[in-house]
Amino acid sequence: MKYKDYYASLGLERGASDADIKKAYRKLAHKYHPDVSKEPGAEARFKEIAEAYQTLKDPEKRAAYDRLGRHAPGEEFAPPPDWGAQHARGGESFEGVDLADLFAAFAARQGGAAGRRGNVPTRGEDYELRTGITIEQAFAGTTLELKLDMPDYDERGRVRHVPRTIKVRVPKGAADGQRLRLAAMGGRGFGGGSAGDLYVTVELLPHRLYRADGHDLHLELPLAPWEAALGATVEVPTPGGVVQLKVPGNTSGGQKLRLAGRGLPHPHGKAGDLYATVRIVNPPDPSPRARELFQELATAGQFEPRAELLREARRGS
Amino acid sequence: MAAEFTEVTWIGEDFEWTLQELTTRSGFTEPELRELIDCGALSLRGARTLATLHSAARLRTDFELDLNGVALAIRLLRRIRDLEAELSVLKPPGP
Repeated sequence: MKYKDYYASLGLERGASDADIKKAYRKLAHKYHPDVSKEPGAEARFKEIAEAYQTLKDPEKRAAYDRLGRHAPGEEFAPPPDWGAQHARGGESFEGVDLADLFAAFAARQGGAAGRRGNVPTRGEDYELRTGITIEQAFAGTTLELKLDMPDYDERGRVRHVPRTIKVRVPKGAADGQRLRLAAMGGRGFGGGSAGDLYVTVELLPHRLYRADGHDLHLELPLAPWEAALGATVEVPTPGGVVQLKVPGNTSGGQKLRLAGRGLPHPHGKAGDLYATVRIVNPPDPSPRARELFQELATAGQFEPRAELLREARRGS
Repeated sequence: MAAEFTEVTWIGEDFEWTLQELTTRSGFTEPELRELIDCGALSLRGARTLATLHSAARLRTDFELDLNGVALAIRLLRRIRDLEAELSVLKPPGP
């Protein structure tokens, strides 16, 4: 098995006191815990720190670890000849064993939860995972194939990872953050205990056109100035296909036009709506005639779009 | 080997957990859960209740928190999630 230097993981010397070990762990946990740190690699680093702490904080495990001797990190090594008889099941092979799993099984032999597994019915662990689906998949429903690496225990209480593939049908209408429970698809139960559940949180992937807000969808709708001013019937994409939208005259930029029921379907009620937010877009290269017409428009009316803005500014000064 | 699985339970905002379901799934005892409910940190209703408890159980182990610390962590986790949800509504569409 490969050696891991738990003292180095915590930035400590081998003779560190229990208080130093605890202090070092706390400092590093605050820095790298995945619920606290968004640094790349933080989760892996935290796993290393937590693994080191679990062994070094327990006097018996620490003593057993120290008896493994000193080796270079990553070095393949075998424990001293009598180590197995003293700290593990005598005669077992350590080839291919992970050091963390070795000490986890050590805890089982101390009478921890894993050690009781054979006697007391213990419910299997629940597992959680997140998966992304597109807005189109949420709209129509989809079947996901989840490829998982589930931890399991062998007859000696050592952890091994078993690949599993689970197909799950996501009905149409899943909103961002929707949680699904797959009963009994989690960790194996022990001693006759039931299996745990698998919880899947569905996330909606970013979309180039739509933004989801619950079951409602939002879309930016570009309009030409004359369409906004005079009104128009325009085509608008929706997840269910392109529809015609009647834009009333005198529509302003930023106004929201509601397309009822064109959002995501709701599994237990009415479908969400699609909101088209108007954005007035000028032609990129107006022709001389177009410029002429715009100039006429500029001089034709008495429209002062910034009148209220300037009134407010003068009132404040 | 592909496993075909048909039974899926939707856990929506109106989903209500029983205390026993949370006790067997969350890593907290019934008295602990009652205390968290009494101080207002936890509700039996909602899609995220169990996920929040799983996060809280992990924080309890990793940071050796007492129950008061766990209650505070739950409130902060909820606040972070609400803020993230508000932020995602304000972001423009597009990857």
